[in-house]
Amino acid sequence: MALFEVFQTTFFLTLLSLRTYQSEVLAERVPLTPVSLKVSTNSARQSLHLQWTVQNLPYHQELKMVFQIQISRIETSNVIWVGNYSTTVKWNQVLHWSWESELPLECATHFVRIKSVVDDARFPEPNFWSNWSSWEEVSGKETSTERLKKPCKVTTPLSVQDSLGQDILFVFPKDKLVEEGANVTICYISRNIQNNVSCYWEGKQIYGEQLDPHVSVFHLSSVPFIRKTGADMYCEVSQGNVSTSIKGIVLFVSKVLEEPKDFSCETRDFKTLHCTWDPGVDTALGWSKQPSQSYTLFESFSGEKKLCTHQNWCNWQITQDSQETYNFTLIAENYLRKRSVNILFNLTHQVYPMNPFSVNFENVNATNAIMTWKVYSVKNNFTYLCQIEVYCEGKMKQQYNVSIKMNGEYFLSDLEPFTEYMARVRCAGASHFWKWSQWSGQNFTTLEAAPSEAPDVWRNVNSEPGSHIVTLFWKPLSKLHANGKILFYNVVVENLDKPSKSELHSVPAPAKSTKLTLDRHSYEIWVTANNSVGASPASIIVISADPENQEVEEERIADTEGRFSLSWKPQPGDVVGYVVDWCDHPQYTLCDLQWKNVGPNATSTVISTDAFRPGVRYNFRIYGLSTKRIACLLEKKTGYSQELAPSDNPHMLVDKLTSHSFTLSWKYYSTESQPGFIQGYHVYLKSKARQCHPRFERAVLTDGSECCKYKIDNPEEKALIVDNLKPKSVYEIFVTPFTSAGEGPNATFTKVTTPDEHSSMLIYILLPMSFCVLLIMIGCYLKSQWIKETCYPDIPDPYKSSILSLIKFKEKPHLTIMNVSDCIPDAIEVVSKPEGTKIQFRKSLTETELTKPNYLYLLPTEKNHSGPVPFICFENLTYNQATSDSGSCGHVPVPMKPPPSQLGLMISPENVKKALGKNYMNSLGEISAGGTNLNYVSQLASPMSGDKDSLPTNPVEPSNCSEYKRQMAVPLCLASPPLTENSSLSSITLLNPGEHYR
Amino acid sequence: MSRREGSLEAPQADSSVSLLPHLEAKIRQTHSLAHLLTKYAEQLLQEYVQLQGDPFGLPGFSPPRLPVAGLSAPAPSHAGLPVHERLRLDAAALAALPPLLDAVRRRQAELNPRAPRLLRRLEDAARQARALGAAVEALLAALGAANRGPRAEPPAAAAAATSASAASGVFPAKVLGLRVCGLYREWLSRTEGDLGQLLPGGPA
Repeated sequence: MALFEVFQTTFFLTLLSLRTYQSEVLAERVPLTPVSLKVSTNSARQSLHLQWTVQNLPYHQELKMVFQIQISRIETSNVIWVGNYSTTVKWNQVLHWSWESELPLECATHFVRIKSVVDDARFPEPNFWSNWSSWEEVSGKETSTERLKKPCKVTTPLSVQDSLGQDILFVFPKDKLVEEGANVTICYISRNIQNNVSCYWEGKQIYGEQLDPHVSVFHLSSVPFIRKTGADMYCEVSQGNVSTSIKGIVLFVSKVLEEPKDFSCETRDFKTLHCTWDPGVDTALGWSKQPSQSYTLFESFSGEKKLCTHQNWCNWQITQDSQETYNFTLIAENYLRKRSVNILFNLTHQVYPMNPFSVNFENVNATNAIMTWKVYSVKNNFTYLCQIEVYCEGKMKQQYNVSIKMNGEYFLSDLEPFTEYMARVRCAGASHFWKWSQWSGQNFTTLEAAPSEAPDVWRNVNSEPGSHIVTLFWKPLSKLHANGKILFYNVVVENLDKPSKSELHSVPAPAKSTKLTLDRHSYEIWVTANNSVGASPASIIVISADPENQEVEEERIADTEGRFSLSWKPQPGDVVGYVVDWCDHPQYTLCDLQWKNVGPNATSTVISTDAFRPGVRYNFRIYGLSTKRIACLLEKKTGYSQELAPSDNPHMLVDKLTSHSFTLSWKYYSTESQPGFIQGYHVYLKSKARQCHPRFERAVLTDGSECCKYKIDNPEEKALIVDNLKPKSVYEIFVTPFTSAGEGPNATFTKVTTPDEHSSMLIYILLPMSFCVLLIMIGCYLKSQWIKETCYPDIPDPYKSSILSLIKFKEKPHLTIMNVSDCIPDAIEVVSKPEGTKIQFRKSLTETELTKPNYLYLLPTEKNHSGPVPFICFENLTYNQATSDSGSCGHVPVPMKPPPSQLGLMISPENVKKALGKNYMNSLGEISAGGTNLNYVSQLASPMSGDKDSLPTNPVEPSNCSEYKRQMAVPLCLASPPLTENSSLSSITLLNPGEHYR
Repeated sequence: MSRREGSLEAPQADSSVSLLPHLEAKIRQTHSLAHLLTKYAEQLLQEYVQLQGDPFGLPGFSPPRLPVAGLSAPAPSHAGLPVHERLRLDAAALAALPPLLDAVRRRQAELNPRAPRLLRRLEDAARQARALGAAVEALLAALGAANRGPRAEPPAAAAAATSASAASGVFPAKVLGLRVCGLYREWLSRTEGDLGQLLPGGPA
């Protein structure tokens, strides 16, 4: 019974609990309807924001529910979207949900309603949906943000245009921000359907679909980025061609935000982390629509975050010494997108060391040095790997790696003496390589060492009688072998033929040659280069006593693109090598001798240098060097690096000109000094004849004219006989040499005119005649003395007169000439001065025979006289007799007459003095001061000897008084009456002023 | 009697004869300034158009000549007015333009912050419009025809209206800027023409 009562009690309790549960479930069965639905819009995002609560939800209970939302456009029946939203709902919770519209919300009225259902596992099926909420209307005009709509009970929706105000046209959305590649829907709303609305996107008209009579929609697919200031889309209402209203929007298209690239962080001092990245494109837009993307650093272990102020780097302060590992997230963000990258690293692995410092060099000598440097200590026991590079003249010579703690040191070896080096060092973390520091470097120069190589020496020997003039040449040692600055060269000369003391010649640098005069012995010459440390090995050359063999024939070589290929026959016997020498500038006196050493087994070489110039002949000499270091000339070569046409034409001579031929020659033309090997000559001949002469061929000149051409192939043939010519014809001829490069320059033709055939006859006549004349002239010359004595004997010298000897003996031994008083004058010839010119006077002389002179007879003893005019009586002036000394002068009282005015000058004392001055100075001293012009009578009537033309044709006969005809000077005033043109005198000469008399 | 003569009749009667050369020089100077500013306004308009992008740079783009608050466009009847009346209108427009140009510059500073030359031109234009307006006012005063008519809308109010219009969107702001620049050029050109009529030998 008790068991029954226990069972009964348990049954009732179970039933009670079941009833309780059932009652709760029943309560759940009451529909949980969404209530208080509110719809707001976000115009910029074109989104509808819904918020609601659930009615009848039990207190403090959570239920998983599903809400179905329905959205219609324009009218409730036009459902454009249906979707479910599942969430867990708490008691009294306000639920939120958003929906984004591709169509700007302003373009059409939207309607929203919602219903719900319990979707919780605790409640088995069957579940059922609640009733729909009432439609919530969102008018296009009223899509302002954060404005809630009240439930609208009107089933007929308000049209959009009704709510827009008074404007006639609208375009939506306003200034939308989208990402590149997005699809954008734009609409316009026109108040009047009659309006003619045209829409344009970036200047091009676009066409849309009509949503209703007032609204048209345009879909822009995958819009590109155009410019930061946005792209314009506008619509205009036009009446006719006139725009009455215009409305537009600017679509701001942003570039897609890129993920930061190359994000990394490093530290130099373990205090700051420097993080860098490549931000990619800047997504900033104008009108403040979107600023540049922002960057934020987030470290997950510490949980710290930092907004970076720069677009591509950010510093992060290391605050905890213990933190070795960092996990950074770099977040890039703009209004449309967010991107992030992440790195995880150990701090000691990201060390970018500070640059090494205090780089120095110690114990620097000729070939090695010790390099030292320091690094910053950033952490205890941190090891650096340092790299050293040694540069010389910009090229890396050595590279080393060395591990250090703080102070670095490295021994640099194998350096070149007297060389400037640059050594630099950089360091990185040794345990984990992240990045090298910057280089730190320093220059240093090694010390000098003795030159390591003998200078390259060559010689030029000029043999002179009894001696050799040896010019030694050497090339400066390369920097590699000089090991320092070469100060001088030592030249030691040792006679090999007879023991003597060696001669030392010291030649200061930078000389590259020296001249030695050696006698005809063999000499060994040692040349060393010396710097401040020591001397180089010696270069030895031997000068043989025998003169250099100059009989080697010269061979021509052809040029090959500015290079000369030389080959030679090997020298018999042992040779230590060959030397080829030449002059770089053979046209100059200092020809710049060059040489090239060739090995003993070589029999050819190529000479190539930039010094070779076209048109210059280069001469090469090839020597063999014997084991005794004696050079023996083997071969000579000559050639041009490039042959040119001759620069000038020969000067030609025309010879042996006859009526049918002439010889042309240019023997002085040098073929050696030309810019190419002269191969021959071209002789051009122009004539009126159309046919060319034999051996000539027709040619056309550069000016287009035709002529005949004859080719001479032998350059030494410098003459040509041009024959078969026509007499008395003009030929033009021109000779030009030619080389492989062409002919000489154009020049003018020389004209040659062949003579007439008969002209040669004249030569046969004229030649003997000329010969005869010549013979006569020679005969005259040989017999000139005879002719002279015959035709014009010399005037006797009175000093040599035999009469003098008689006078000396008798009276006046001091007198040297015969005195007038010694003679007894028999007569005085009185002459009258002619007024005519000398010519006239001379003319009168020719009439001497027809005119009888007037004679005035004088007393031989008369000495004194009186009268206004001195009367001077003297002997022939040739006798140098002073009239004053003459005791036989007489005066003739002849009335004075003034001289003609024309002669006034002549009668002045000065003129008289002049007239007599030169030849009669001795006489003048004895003539009285009042002396005037004189007439004298020559005994021989010999006129001026210098005027042979005026020689009288009828000389006067000598008088009987002596050998000579007596002569006297007569003043002009005595010329009474004055001479007229008809007057004539015999043996009288008028001495005009300035007229010389001998 | 020519229009020019008629307009100057009253002022000339009051003016001293000795002042005429000075007045003429002033007119000439103001006219030269207007001429220069007209050229500058042309350059400003070109630069503005270039920097707004399409369709502003396109030849066929001609938005309607919308009214601008505080600034009227030169009316077609302007030419029929006496010259001193025209100059009064010119001076009023030039006084209204600076705040509008300043507002346009502010908008462009937002839209084209990297176009310093345009911004400088806009700034200069506001200052130059003010200067020319003052010069025309002074000239009117010298002619005894000082502005007695109704004052233009206060510049601050015009600018506020402009800013409000621009706030409605970027595109309307661009169009408004274009309109303001265009009006600036038109009023300068008109002022230059009106001043030219005062010059001796100017068009009758």
